Amino acid sequence: MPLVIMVEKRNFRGLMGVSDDLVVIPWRFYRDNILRPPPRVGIKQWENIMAQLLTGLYLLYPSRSLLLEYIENLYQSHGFTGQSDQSCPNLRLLFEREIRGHKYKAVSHFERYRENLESRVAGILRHCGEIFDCDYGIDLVRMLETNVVLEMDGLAREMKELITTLLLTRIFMYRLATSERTNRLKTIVMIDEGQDIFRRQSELQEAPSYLATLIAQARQMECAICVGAQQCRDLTFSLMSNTAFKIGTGFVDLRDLDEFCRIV
Amino acid sequence: MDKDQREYVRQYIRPGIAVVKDPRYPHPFLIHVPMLNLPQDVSDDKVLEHLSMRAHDLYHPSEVAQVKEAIRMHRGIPAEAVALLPSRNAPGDQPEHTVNNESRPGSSTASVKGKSFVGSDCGMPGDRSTKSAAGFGSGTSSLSDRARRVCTVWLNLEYPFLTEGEIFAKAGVTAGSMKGQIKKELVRMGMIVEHELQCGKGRMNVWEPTDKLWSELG
Repeated sequence: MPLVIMVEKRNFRGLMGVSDDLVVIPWRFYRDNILRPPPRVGIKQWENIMAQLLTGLYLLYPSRSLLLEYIENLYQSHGFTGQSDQSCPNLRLLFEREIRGHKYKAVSHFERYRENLESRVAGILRHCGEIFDCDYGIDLVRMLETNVVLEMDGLAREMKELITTLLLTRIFMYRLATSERTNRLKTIVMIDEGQDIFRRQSELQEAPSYLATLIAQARQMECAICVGAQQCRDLTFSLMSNTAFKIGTGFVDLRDLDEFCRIV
Repeated sequence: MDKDQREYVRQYIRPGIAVVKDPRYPHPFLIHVPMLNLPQDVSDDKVLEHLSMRAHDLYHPSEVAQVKEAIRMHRGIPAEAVALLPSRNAPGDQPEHTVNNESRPGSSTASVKGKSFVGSDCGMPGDRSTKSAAGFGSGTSSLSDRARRVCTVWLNLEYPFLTEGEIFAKAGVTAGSMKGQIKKELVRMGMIVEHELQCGKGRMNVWEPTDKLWSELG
């Protein structure tokens, strides 16, 4: 069963000595064109998902329709129709050509939404531009046939969440588009230090993220998700309620043990 | 969990013990957590070298060169040395050059401007330096042919970090008695040091080649 392991530290490298097939990818060498849909997924569907994902990550819900418009414009101007052999625009192009290219009246709502988008996308490109600055990125189909460890040490929390959500979305959409719903497990995704991505605090204070929606659907997508965390009281309720098996060990205090006993 | 189950878990949980809740059963289980000692000293260089070799398996063909270039720059390897480094998956690639014959078998060393870069893909089975070829197959101190063949196959692998069973499987040795004889011979002659690796409830044997074995194989 192919494994995709997403870790914050470098302590899974030792597995290279156990399995020949395992590939460790430090995040600097991970590539993903956020605007290219997974195989067999339509661009209309993908642009909706991406607009939802990007605006949901930074709580920019009012900017969603504007971002959607930009993505559509970019696809049209680039002549991208969703074919896998066509060149696809990437996030940098979206930023430079559409988000920065449009100007509105200084005090209008549109300008405020555009500025919000500009600052957030500029942040993404500044943090990990090399990941998204590509045309194709990692081949998802091949990746799902290989054991992969993706190391995300040194990345900001938002970036980790973005990369994790993006990868899970790709896997799920691909499975949805190709799967015959055999109810057989095909991929295992392991997320270490899950408290950074599935933060209960965020779930309580902010709207549910797109990741929560994905987790709720994971079981239908023939994909198992294993999340490791130091304390179960840090993890989101959506994750807890959608997890069948729970394993607890090394409880640091009774409060955590009580929380574990409560949720199982 | 109800109150009794919670009390039960509270009493018995301790380091090395995990509590598992399977939704198919109404009660929790306590299990021993196996200790898995993985090597933690895998360097960046090794990881990136491996990634560079496997780039063809993961990235789109049009971006493989770009990723490899990024890896090369990250590793600080001059561009002139790239041609001398091994690349396993490029279809139609020529066998790699062995620049320096004094290197260990299973590795190639390319020296550019005073820096040396060690790859692990070169050295074909059967390539032996003059030093070991002289003692091959003769004298009581040298290895038997079958043990030599196993070691040659093993140490010429791109990633020779295999368990004992996997090494024998790679070398095509299936008979249990043969395996025992080869292993005894290697241990007796000080060619390998054996380690036990705990894996789940069982154990796996891992061999560490000694300098004597390296020099024996040239």
